[in-house]
Amino acid sequence: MRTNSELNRNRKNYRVSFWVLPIAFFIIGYLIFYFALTPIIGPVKSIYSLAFSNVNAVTTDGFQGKDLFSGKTGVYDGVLKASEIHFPYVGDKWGTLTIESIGIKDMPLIYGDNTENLLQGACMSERSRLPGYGSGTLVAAHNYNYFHELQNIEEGVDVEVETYYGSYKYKVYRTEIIDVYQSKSYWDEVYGDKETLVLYTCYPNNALRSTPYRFFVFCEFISGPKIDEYN
Amino acid sequence: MKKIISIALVAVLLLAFAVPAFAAGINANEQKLLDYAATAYVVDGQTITVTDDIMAQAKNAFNSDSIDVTDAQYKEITAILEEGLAYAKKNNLTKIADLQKSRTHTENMLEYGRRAAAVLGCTVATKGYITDADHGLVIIYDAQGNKIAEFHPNLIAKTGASTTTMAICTLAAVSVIAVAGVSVKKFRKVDED
Repeated sequence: MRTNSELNRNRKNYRVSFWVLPIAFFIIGYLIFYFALTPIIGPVKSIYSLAFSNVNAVTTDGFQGKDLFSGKTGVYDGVLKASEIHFPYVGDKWGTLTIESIGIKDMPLIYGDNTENLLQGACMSERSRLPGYGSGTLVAAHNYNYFHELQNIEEGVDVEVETYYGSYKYKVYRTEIIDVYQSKSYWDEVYGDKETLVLYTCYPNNALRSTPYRFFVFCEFISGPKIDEYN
Repeated sequence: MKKIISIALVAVLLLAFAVPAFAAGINANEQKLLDYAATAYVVDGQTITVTDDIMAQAKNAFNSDSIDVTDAQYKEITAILEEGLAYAKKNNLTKIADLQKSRTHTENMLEYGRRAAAVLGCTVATKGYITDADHGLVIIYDAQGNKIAEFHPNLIAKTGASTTTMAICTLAAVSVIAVAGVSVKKFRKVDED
């Protein structure tokens, strides 16, 4: 026959084994699977969407972007004619990004910021302009890989963008955490008539869920060729 | 000597014509279309205007090698845009959010876009429900199947943890616990036996 103390000990063991241990194992298991599976979930999703897509494209839907960039052009200033430059298609790699102070070196720059492209590098929004076209260039990348160190960037730091048609230099003049719904905070810089490079990524880095905040880096134009898109 | 010079001249001319001339850049007709889109229209006291981000995307699309709008194409596209605008005015559609209220309006407006794109030899495809801010896509292909533009309602992309990742990890963690729980119960039963 069991004593009262044995019964109490059993009840305590029951609480521990029924509640505490499962919750602890759940948290540990979640973190293990998160770090193990995150790198492969994106590609698996892409394959799944290709196989079961409801896209009613009447032409090829498996378009693969081209690499337009073949190294530094040596063009640092002047005016280039748009009619002498092939304009990128969505998915094309059009250049590289280097920010030495935070360890970013020759990061691919892709045209178009859809889900698939964001897995390949830093992506320029098609609703902004390429460098040289006289307005803002809006570039995004994921915070858990390509732009993981972006939040450590400081004002005054040099940023280099090598494109397939010219070399561009910028300098960081402002960083800000912005709610995506507060577009006034970045609109004038992205759509003004000054060459500006605007980089952004989700904030904070370690968020385990979707966040409405983005860490923005605003960079002023220092040098690079201009593009005459009317010739 | 004259023959050599002529041959050299022909070679130079052939080379000159062989240099690729891209259709990139904005021609006069494309600028007229941009000006048309930039004109604000008033519907029941509300102003419809194409926003700066869409104008930027339109300029990028016109810079594509595949797009070189002729006079005839400009007239045809403008006529289609006028029809689309009349439809928007008639149904009081002044912003994308209005399209979310009715799939019929979305499809009808998309059809005007398809007809305008077809004038330039382009096709329009959709992925998901186009008014879905996170996943909807309108994709424009040129005649060769190159993707010249993609449009999704959100300007700012999602660049952090994905809900799919969380869902999969949660499911995996719960499955492990469930299996562990069943195993523990079985071992305990064996021990008691």
